Amino acid sequence: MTKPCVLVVDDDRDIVQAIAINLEKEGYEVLKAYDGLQALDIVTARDLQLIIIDIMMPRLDGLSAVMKIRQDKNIPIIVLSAKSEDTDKVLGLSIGADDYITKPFNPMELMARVKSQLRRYMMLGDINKSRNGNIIRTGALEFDPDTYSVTLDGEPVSLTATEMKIMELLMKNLGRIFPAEEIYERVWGETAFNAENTVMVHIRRIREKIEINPKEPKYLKVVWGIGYKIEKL
Amino acid sequence: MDIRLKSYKQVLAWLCSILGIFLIIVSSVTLIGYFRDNAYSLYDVNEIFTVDLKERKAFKETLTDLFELLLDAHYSNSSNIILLKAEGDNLLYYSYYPKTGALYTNMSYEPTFPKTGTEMPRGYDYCLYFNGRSFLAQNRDKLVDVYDSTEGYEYRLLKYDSRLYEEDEHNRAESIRIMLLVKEDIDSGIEDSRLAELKRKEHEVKTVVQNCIASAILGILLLATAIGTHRRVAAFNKRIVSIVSKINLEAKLLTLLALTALFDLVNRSGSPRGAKAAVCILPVWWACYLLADLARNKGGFFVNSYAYIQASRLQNYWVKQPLSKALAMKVSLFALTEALLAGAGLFLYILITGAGDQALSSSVTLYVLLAAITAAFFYAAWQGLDRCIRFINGLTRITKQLELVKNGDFETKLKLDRDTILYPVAENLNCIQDGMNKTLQEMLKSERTKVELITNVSHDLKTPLTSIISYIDLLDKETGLPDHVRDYINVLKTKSDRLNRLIQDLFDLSKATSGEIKLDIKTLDLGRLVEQVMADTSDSIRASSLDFRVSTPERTVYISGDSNKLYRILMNLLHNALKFTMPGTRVYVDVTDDNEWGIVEIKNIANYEMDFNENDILERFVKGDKSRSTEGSGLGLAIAKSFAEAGGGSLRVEVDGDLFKAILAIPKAALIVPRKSDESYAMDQVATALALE
Repeated sequence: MTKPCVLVVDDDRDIVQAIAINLEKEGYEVLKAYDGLQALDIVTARDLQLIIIDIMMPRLDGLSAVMKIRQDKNIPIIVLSAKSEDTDKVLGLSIGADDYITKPFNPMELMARVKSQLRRYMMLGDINKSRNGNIIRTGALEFDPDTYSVTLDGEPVSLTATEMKIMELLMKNLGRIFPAEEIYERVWGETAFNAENTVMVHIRRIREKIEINPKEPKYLKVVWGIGYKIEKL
Repeated sequence: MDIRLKSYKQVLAWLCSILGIFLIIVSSVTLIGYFRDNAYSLYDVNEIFTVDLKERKAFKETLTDLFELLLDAHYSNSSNIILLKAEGDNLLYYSYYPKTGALYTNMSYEPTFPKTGTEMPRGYDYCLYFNGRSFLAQNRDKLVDVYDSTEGYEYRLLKYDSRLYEEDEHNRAESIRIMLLVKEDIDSGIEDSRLAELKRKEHEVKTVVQNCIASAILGILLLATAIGTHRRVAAFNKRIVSIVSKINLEAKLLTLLALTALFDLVNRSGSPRGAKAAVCILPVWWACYLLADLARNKGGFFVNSYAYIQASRLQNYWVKQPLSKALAMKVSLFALTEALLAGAGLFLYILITGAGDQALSSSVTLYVLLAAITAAFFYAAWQGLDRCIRFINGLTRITKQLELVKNGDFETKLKLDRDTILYPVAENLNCIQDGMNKTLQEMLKSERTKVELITNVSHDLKTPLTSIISYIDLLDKETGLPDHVRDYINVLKTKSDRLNRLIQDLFDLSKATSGEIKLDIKTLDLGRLVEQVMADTSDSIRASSLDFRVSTPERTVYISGDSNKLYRILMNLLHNALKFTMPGTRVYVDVTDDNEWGIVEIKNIANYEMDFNENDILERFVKGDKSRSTEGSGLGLAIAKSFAEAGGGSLRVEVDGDLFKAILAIPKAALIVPRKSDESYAMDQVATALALE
């Protein structure tokens, strides 16, 4: 298989350069563009596997570029922006971006997200194949009750027995919020006492295994003042 | 058509209408008045015109009366003869009573008394005679019934008969003879003659009736002409009205009064009825023009008056006065006016009814004045009431307006009538609103600019920072660097991280304080929230030498707030406590509640001397010097405070020696919360509700 090709678009050449260095280290082929129109030219000319694109750029801004690309391409797009408002993120994701990273970002986190997106994109065919009845899926996270296993982007995640029980409870009830006491009582089978801390410790460990950035979890979320849930995506 | 000719025709038409009405009224009043004065019935008048004098009832009555007088002369009143003599030539009489031998006559011969009909001397054509057996009345050669009704006639005869029987039972036929002869052409010149009087009256009635009817017909003709040319009359009337409208109101009213007074004078002077009626028309006529003026000019009718000019001057004066003074003046003026009018009215009333003076009590002028004063009294009272109601309305509207302003509506303006006493107040209020609106707009604008500035600045800061962080990371990944270079890189890493946090905090704070923040308010369990946050920070807590004592209430405290913002607040407070607490001491986190608020209190012993003001610490960039040089942006408490306030809560700080106390109050949820036993159920409810959202 050839090297995946990634397009990096930002009007700040230094940032493009830094990202390119990191990507090349990971063994990807990198194309660079410094505004939206250049990006569109490259997109039509080349066969790409991923696009990393800034929003605020001269000539054609990132959001418009994403909309144009989405008209005929299905490749993953990660938006990179200094706009850190929730509304900005929602807007970016809703017009067709697959991920949204705010500046300044941690290069490691960016790489992890790139890998995650690529894995999903490349293995789309396999996912369809393994689609059998009992598997519960949210985003790139899957729980198979038959084999009692959790996979992320198709790769197995290793969990302890307790962690697996918590995952089972939350995955089987996607979107439902469980107070710590209920999780404790249903997973440990004991009356809850000081459950919050214990549950939180396990939640944090699971997050480290399934989330790219555990501080900004995508799947396993705390609903402050109420409990915990796995988001239905 | 020539304008002068046109106006000449108009004047003519108008004069026709006036004269016509005058004539009709004067003649009809005269006629009716004449009949009433002389006690004539319509039947009488009809008789006068249709029947000869000698066939009239009044003539017959007079004649029979004279006959009876002559008869009575023999029995009692011989002086009655004077009355008969007064008739002069008009009446010839003969009366002989053989018993006494008395004979009263002015005839030159002795008449004969045939049984049926008699020959009358020349110049006489009406005869009445009684020959002891029969009573006969004869007009020319016809016998007539002078007593009109048969019954009356027989009765009268019986009366005479009985008297005659008593006197001379056996020879009654020969007893008495009476004859009266009336001149053919009654001489109306004889003064005391009743027959002449009769003729004179007839002539007078005929003259009056004919004249009146003639003038009435003339009047009707004139009026008909006027109606035929009613356009011209109307046009001229319009011109008169327009002239009238130019006259001062007081002058108009005084003219009306003067005309009424003139009528009073004429009415009392004993002038003929026609003249009275003619004068009576004048004030009515004038009043009609005044009413036409009022109808045409409406409010303008009152404007052209001395009183109005004075009132509007007073109005202008009032507008410039302070409200209280103007109000006091208005009220006293109202009271004074009412008192004066009431006094004048009472005086007039007593004058009319109490004085006992015929002239005063029948004076139309006084009645008109009384009516005018009464009307003015009620009008003033009504006006006063109206003003009062309008004043109250104005007050109500101003109160409502104040309510609006209080609630932040600076756009809706209060529109009061210019002439109300509260107009200046409303204007002032509007000015205040304008001012506040302007200030608000400016404030909003400056806030917006500030937020825009901060957004842009933070964006502009973030872009280079991204490069810095990225290249530091690349540097960090280089191998074979000397140790001191690696130390430098570590310093760069920490500081760039701190810079990143600082920018983010600054951004959050400025957004929260400028009210740009969006909140997602939900019902939360405060105790659980605190426990979760504690669990979330448990690593840092374990790493510190501090002992956290958390106490949550027995029953659940439901609050309403944005969970992410609350998390941030509590996180900031906990981090603050972690950073600034004396090592080895305890930190107390207490969750309580009162009626309105859910309260989180965090108490710790400071690890430095807190020489700052309690309020200053919550401001941006103010905190103990010590911390400033170390990690953190110094904005933690300021952010916590702005977030708390944005969500309707509050954050207070108390310092007592080394004891630092942060008190966070969050509004309680309005939801009716089940008690402890139902807690899990309630939890599910809340969770379901949230999931649904």
